[in-house]
Amino acid sequence: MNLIDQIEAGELKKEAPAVRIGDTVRAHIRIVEGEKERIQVFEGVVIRLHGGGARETMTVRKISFGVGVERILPLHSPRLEKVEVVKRAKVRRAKLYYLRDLRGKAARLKELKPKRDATKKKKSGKTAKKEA
Amino acid sequence: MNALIGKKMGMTQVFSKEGNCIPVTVIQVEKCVPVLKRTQEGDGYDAVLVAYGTRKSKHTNKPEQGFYNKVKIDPARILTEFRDQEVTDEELGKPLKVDMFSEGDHVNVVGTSKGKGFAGVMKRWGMGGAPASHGHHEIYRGGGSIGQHTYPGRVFKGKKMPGHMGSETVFTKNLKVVRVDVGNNVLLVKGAVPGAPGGIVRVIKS
Repeated sequence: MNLIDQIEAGELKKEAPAVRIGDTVRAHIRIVEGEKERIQVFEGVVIRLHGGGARETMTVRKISFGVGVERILPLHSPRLEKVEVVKRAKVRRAKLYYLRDLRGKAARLKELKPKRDATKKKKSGKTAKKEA
Repeated sequence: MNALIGKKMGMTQVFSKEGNCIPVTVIQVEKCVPVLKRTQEGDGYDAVLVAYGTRKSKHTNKPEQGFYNKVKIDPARILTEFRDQEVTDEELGKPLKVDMFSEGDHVNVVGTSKGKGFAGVMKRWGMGGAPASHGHHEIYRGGGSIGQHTYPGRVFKGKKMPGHMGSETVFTKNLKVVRVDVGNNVLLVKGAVPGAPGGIVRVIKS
């Protein structure tokens, strides 16, 4: 391993947030105000994953009071306390920049249901019947 | 000694304790040995002669080999002086370690900048060029007039004109030391330092 990879390996979090493109996430961001510290939650859709290793970032977009807000969050930053994945969506792009031009209902993503295996079984059942 | 020679390995980023993301340059110090002391009495100035890197002895001429023989080290790639540095007699011949710096120190880094070749005035001096339209032709990246008329009848010395750019010694002042890795003999300094990765840089405490 070369020297720079070694240094970056030391910056990695033990468990990197398992985020995918199109996920709706709740990012818990630690904010330091003077001496006080508090956690702020930023909830939105991951529209971009960028970089790799310790330099990986995600761009989270949400609509706040009718205004689109995007935050770029380094996944391995100590300030990023926790990332919860609220829901996953079916997406066909690596970057969801097209969401910026959409508003309201049009800006929704099709949710990815984890029960995919069950539907597959049903289909195979049907074909089995046809064969019979 | 408050100075050493190192190799720029490249740039990356690290997180500080507060969670800030800091851009850093990685400088690795390989074999770096003080070889000789220059003194006010003997040489007219104070300096320390430092050897860096490795070189085959068959490529080293005998006068230079003499420096290495004195402190019993292998021939080095680079032999250069640091002015106004102090070194004790025991330290001569012993490799320099990055622990002479500590986190939060400020250092100056000297290196050779990347060569840009023969560059025009827009790149080399930041001149504005000419508008793309309104009747201009064939001078889009030119520098305009270079002088007056019969008087003075010549172009002044130092006029900013196209020419070779880069490959020159650049002095970067007051870079903060972010991390000191004594085990690997590696220094992380905040920000960029002159030159391409693999280039030789001088690091001096400021």
